[in-house]
Amino acid sequence: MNNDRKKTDRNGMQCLTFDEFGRRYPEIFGRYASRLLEEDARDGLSDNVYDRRPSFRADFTLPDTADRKVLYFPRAWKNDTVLSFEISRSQRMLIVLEKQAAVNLNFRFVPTTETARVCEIFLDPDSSLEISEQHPDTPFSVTNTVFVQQGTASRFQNTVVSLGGKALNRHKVVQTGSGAESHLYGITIAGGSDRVEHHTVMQHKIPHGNSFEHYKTVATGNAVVDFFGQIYVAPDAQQIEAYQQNNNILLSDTVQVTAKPQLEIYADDVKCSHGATFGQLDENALYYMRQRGILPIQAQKLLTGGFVTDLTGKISDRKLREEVFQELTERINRL
Amino acid sequence: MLEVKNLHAEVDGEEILKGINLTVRAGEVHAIMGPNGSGKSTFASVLAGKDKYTVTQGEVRFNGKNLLEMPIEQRAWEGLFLGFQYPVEIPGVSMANFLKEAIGEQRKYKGLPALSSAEFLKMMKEKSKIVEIGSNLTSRSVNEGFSGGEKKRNEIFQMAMLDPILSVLDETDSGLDIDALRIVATGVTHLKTAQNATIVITHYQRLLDYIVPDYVHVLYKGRIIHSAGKELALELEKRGYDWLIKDYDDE
Ligand SMILES: Nc1ncnc2c1ncn2[C@@H]1O[C@H](COP(=O)(O)OP(=O)(O)OP(=O)(O)O)[C@@H](O)[C@H]1O
Ligand SMILES: [Mg+2]
Repeated sequence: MNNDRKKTDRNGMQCLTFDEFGRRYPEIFGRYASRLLEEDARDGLSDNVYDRRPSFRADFTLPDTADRKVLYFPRAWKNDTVLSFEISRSQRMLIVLEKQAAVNLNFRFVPTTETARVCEIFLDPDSSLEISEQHPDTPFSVTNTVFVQQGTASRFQNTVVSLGGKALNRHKVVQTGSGAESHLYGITIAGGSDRVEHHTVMQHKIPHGNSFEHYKTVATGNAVVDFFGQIYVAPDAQQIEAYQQNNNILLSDTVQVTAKPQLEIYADDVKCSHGATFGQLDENALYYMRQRGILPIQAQKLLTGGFVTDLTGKISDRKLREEVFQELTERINRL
Repeated sequence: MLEVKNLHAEVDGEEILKGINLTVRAGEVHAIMGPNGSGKSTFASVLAGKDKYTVTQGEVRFNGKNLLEMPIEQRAWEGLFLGFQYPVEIPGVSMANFLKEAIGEQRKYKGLPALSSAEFLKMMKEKSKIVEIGSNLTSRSVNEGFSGGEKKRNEIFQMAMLDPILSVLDETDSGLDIDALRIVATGVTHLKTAQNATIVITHYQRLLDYIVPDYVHVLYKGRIIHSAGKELALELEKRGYDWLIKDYDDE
């Protein structure tokens, strides 16, 4: 292991194919690759949580043509600007952050065909990873499965922005070290016959951990949007704080929006809450805005944008945050 | 400027306004007082065009046009401003975007060119001085987390930005401390010209010390039962409404 590590430390961050990385750093590759997939299979969660909808394939076998990439960040590696990646076809990805690494990544889905992605992420103690995922409104279906394992005092934040189309997002985060912090955020703007699903699994296996989940949806037309969120707190995983929230604005009578929280708490010293709301735009706010001379359609756009800004605000990089908000606003304008 | 004739309005089948008559000319200040539940806010909302109220009788002309025919936003473009008794919080929408949109539409309606960003910012800065509202408030989301007094000040700030012809201020003085009351009231006075007019709805004489009304009206059970000069407010403060109400109920 030490041989591997020395080599990579010298070289800094690595972005290699599975084959190449496996050849150069067999020990690291062997330690991580597929570990979370196997564990998930043992959990049986795939059967329980993921397979409710026949519309998506739930197996993790990817076509041979899929990209297979490792992103490896050595100890204390840091980036000032966001590293951006475009995903245009099926992909397997392995992301490893060594101790104290602090990384900011952006994945933009630009599918040219039906696309499936399976990503495993390992966060070593004291590392920190922020991800934003952008799904534009495309005709190709996207299945995005992300497994995360968090070590002691690590921080993980994911913000997924779905602008419609046909997308299934699965995010499973397992805290295996104490003092870990997980943030899962999601924004969905859907209209027409868009179909978007978010499945999250938040597992606290060790005492002293926090998790914050907040998903928001604005849906109109005949859109179908589902949020399934499971929180699991293991026996003896005391002093956990786990929060989940899901707010939905329904702009038409024909949308179908579902929220299904599922709490499995086996420890007693736990602060845990979840809530889901469904509603229309605030009538009083619309009236107030119109009284100031704002057209109803403009008021609706401002309110809809305002509804999601707290979540785009979670994206720490200013430029990316503004870009994402701009894209959201354009999508809202097309609703 | 504003002519209200025999205005009747109901909500959920219940008649709240039962024949209001009121004429407001340019340069005038009118105060509307009256016990709780008499219909003051309802009257303001009906002028503004709130959907939940149905006008069943009467007419309202504003700038010579039929006000009741216009959608809410057009009434605003024509120069009607309502200072809300309970200003609404709009999370995630910045004051700047909100006002840019409002002023943009108003200028379009009047056939004026759009303001540049620089002009708009300059205007925000100037007008915020009138009510001594800091940039810490104007850079935030509309009313979100504002204190009661800050919300009321923000109403007058918006009034200053929109430069209305007729402002209806619904209990803009309630919830204000003495300093805030002075600031708000002098702000309103500052915005007064010979071309515009103000209707202040209030329970207290103290606001009228600053904004001196030309007329004071008492609204009771959906009708204006008494109108007089500014001295009426003082008398009401001393004697309450009972003596007027008694006469009216006796009739
Ligand atoms: N949806 C409704 N259905 C029936 N009555 C209503 C409805 N909404 C308001 N009202 C009634 O209309 C009347 C007038 O209310 P309004 O708010 O106009 O009074 P106000 O004079 O502004 O009172 P205040 O001084 O307390 O602000 C009240 O009696 C109120 O209860
Ligand atoms: Mg009232």
